Amino acid sequence: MAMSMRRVLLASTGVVAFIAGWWLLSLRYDAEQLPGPGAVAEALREMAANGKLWRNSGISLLRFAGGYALAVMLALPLGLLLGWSRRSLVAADPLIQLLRPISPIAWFPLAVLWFGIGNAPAIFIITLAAFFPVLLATVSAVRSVPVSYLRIAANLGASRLLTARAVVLPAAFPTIVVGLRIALGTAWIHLVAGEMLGAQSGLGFLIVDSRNFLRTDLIIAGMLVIGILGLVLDRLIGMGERRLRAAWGQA
Amino acid sequence: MSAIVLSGVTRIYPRPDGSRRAVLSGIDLAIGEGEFLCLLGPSGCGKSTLLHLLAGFDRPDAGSITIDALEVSRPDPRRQVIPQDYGLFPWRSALGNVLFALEARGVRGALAAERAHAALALVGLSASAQQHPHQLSGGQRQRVALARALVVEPEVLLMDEPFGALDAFTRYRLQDEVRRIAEDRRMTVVFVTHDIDEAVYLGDRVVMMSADSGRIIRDLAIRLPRPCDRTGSAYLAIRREVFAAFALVHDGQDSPRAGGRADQVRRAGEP
Repeated sequence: MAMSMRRVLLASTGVVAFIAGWWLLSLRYDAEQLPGPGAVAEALREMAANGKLWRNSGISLLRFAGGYALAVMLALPLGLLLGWSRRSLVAADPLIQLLRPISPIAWFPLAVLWFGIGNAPAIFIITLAAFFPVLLATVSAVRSVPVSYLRIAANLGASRLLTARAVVLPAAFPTIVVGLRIALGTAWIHLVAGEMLGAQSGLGFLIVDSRNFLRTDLIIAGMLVIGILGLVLDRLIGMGERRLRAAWGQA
Repeated sequence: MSAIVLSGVTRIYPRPDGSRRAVLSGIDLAIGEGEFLCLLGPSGCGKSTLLHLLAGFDRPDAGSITIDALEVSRPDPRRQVIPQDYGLFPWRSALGNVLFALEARGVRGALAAERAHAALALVGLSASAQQHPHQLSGGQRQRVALARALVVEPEVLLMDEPFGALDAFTRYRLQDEVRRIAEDRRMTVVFVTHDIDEAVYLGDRVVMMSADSGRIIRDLAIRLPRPCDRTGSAYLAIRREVFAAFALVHDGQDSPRAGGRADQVRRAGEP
């Protein structure tokens, strides 16, 4: 008990020091430039009371879920194929390496031209952002499936379909999950960027909109909410990852 | 059913420096149906390579391997390999691992469950059917691997140093069980080991390979009453003979003049 208290204290050190530094700095500036922690807490209360907090968080999370799910549905089967067939990887790899360094943000003008303003361009950006981490993790996971598993399957005369479904996919899954987690973080970062540029709602829009009204306290409150939701999402998938590892017999 | 004939089997691997090394060179060997043959040699002598060739995981660069006059060209469920690391799927229970073998053979449903449970019972693992590999001891994992191989009723069992990682008592018990099961099912067994005791105890025949030549240096029939007594004088005499053969080979590597002596052993060992 004493140990866990000390752990909690130690873990809060960074946050407490940050808030203290922020507060000290805020004393020297106008509230329009840098509001203090108290003012931002007040802004959060205001957003919670008038419903802006819940509405925009909900919209952002929905877009995020849609884009992320779409990315996984596209990248996972493609990654399995490219990891499984050496020829297809040789054929596709240069294209992947060409497209991957282009930031999802750079796609934004095109996304707005193609899909207009609203949910679609934000979802498009999230899908792009999550696609490559999932794809690359899946390819490398499939390629590193132990050859002894494949030999066992071949020795028993397992069909290619059974080998893919019952050997390669489960053997690769723990590694794929690492990619899913990285993709989650990347996609969340780009969600906000997407909403800042082309949406009329969501947490990204909330920040831009608050800037237009010079409500710096609301800007920082919005940023905090983005950070907290990102943390919660990461912890959730981390918990899933640990459960999965336990079921797979890994520490 | 399953007589295995190797003639002139050669397998060449490239070395890191670009040169080529014959891991196996001109191996001639005939394995009779129902024979329990131990392939004995130090690490790197090519015995595992030979097993992979027998399994069809790999092809020889020269020579041929036939089973009942049919060329071995790919893996076949009738020849089951038990790999050194067991090759169990960690995401499946013991039962699930055995069921995979049946699924691969197209056996499903109640019949598959019945056969899988029977195979686990045969290796004494009924109580651990629902355990996952990481919850099992090394000996139990080996038993699961054995059950998975046996459930498809192979004619040939190819075992690659299967008991190397086990403690002595578990190893002795598993040796007895493998021997019993192989006799009951009249399987042909090729058992790769670097343990002289194990080879002499298990094999009807011990084929010895030297460390570097990629050749068979001695082929010894073991005629001991089964189950054999690990402390009996007949057993100890054969063990001494095998030991002597290997001591000569190893001396031969160390001293330049001893090459002739290893040669003599090979000549003496030819049938």
